[in-house]
Amino acid sequence: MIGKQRSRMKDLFVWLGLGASICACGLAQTAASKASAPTSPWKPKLLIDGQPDVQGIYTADYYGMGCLTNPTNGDVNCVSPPGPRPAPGTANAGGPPPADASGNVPGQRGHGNPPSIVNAQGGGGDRGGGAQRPAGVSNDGPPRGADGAQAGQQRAARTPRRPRSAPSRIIDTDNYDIPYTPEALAHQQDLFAHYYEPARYGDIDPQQRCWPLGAVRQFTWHDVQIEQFPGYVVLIFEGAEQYRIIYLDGRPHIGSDLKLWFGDSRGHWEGTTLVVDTTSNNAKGRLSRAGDFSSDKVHHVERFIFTDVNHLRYEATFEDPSVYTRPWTFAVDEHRGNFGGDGGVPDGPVTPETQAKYENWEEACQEGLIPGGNDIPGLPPDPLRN
Amino acid sequence: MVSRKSACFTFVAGFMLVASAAGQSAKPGSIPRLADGKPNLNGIWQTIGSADADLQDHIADRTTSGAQSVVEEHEIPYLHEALAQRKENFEKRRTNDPEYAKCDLPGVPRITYARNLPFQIFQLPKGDKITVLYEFAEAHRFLYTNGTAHPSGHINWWLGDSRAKWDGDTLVVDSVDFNDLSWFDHAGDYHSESLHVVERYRLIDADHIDYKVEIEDPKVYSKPWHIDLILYRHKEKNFQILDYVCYAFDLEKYYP
Repeated sequence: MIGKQRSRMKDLFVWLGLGASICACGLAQTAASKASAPTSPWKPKLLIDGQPDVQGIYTADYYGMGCLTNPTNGDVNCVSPPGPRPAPGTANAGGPPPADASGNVPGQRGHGNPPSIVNAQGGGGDRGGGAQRPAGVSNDGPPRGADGAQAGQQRAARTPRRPRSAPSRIIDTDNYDIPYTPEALAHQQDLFAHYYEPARYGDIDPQQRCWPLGAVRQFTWHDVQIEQFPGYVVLIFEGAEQYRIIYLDGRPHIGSDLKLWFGDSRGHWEGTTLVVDTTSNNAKGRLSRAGDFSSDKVHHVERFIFTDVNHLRYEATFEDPSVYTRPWTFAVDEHRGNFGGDGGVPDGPVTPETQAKYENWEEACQEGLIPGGNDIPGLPPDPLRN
Repeated sequence: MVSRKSACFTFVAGFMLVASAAGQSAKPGSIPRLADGKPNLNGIWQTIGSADADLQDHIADRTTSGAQSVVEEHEIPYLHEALAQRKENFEKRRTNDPEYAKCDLPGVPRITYARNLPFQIFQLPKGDKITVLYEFAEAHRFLYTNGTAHPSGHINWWLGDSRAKWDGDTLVVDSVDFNDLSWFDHAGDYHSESLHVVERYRLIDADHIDYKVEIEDPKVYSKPWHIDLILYRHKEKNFQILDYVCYAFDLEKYYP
């Protein structure tokens, strides 16, 4: 059992480069196809209630929640905060890429990566598989066990680990950065500085506690399984036991004083784009490991833009005058996950049969089945429970 | 009692097949069906009562109402050597009940009645599975109806592995691959990894499900035993599942 449980661990980063050899649906290709002449619009199969059929499991092209402005292919953090680094093999051990030729340090505020950064690096950058890993595969450390060690050597030979920068997840501000008010910026910097040396309970990233990450941040983390039912789109996230229900029946929002971890979502389809109005966010899940945040007054309009049978671009507006000087838009490209093997253990070649066999298995993060859930050195103990 | 119920049900169901040709609307005493003819379990359901506090007879206290046993055999048939653990669990329930003290996933069938929280069933005609979303701690279950078998195990899951099939108009859900950490109630009723749960969901009418559960665990009980509860449909306008992220209750105040 342990092997299978560990196969579901959230530490995915070893696999990031491997994707190129399994699946060639990288962001670079997506960008290239967008730049070419428009192709005929995608005509999806329609479900019984008229929704386009987009069901399946999707994963971020450039996966990671460390840094919204300077994300990389799986590195967890954009700049090493002060304080001790986690030990290799723990969930936060990924390092940031070095400064670029012009001396810009990744993660510096005001220097978000432009969209052109993808083509400048060449090659695809995404991973090919889903969230589930074969038994014994750790995060940044070598896989455990004899089989795992051998597999790890093969992977290392095929895919040397190389940081690859991805476009900023903020797409419509001048510097591709979040337009914080001065007070909000000070709070973000304070949270960032205390990421590895938490001084207060609230310094600990909610993700390290396995809490829900909120409507938007969740898309930078594990895979999302989209299910559709008449009147509903249901999102079931991997990495922890969490889900969202998007109501398509035109019902009014819940009261504004009622706050939820994933907010309250009302959606409708515009062609192959699902437009979702999300209010009542409790905003406790924050936005990244760099202390980025919104308040519980934030209002999102989310757009799930299905560009073809295998690709999804997710965009979300952030409107929150208490934290930002202007509205801004978050975006992340996702592709359909590819799964080999049998059922919940997707190792081996990817075929239509293995894709069909894949099952999203339990990931009880909060319960402690996933090692490394709270691996911040010096983590203060929880206060006495009520 | 059981056979009388099912005989009556067969009669009603037969009548329903004729009546349902006109649509999915439910007349009193009839049950709604999907296009594939299966009983339509879609909706938001909830238990009432205090099975979560104690499946067996219990008196009221500060945290629960009193209630009669929902165990069909009245008492859980513990092996003699398993009683000491149950007694210890009961005495330490405030701190050791995983659901109550730590908000761990409550296992099956407790997820159905944990805190009497609502849950929503999503079922498609000829679907490969039924999805159930629970308000308790964002939990979900997939009840696979595509004829697949349990994975080769043993796998230690909190909510087990569930494979379902229809037995007439009853959805029969077979679950194994449990860990030994969850309890059935706050009174400390427990199980081992050998737990085998068979749930039977049967619509009595459009708004009530008879939820009968067989619990088998030869390491803890001398014979299989049964729980019988009623699931009630939420009919309030615009009622929806909210969230009950209990593992954050203590600390979320530090996250404004």
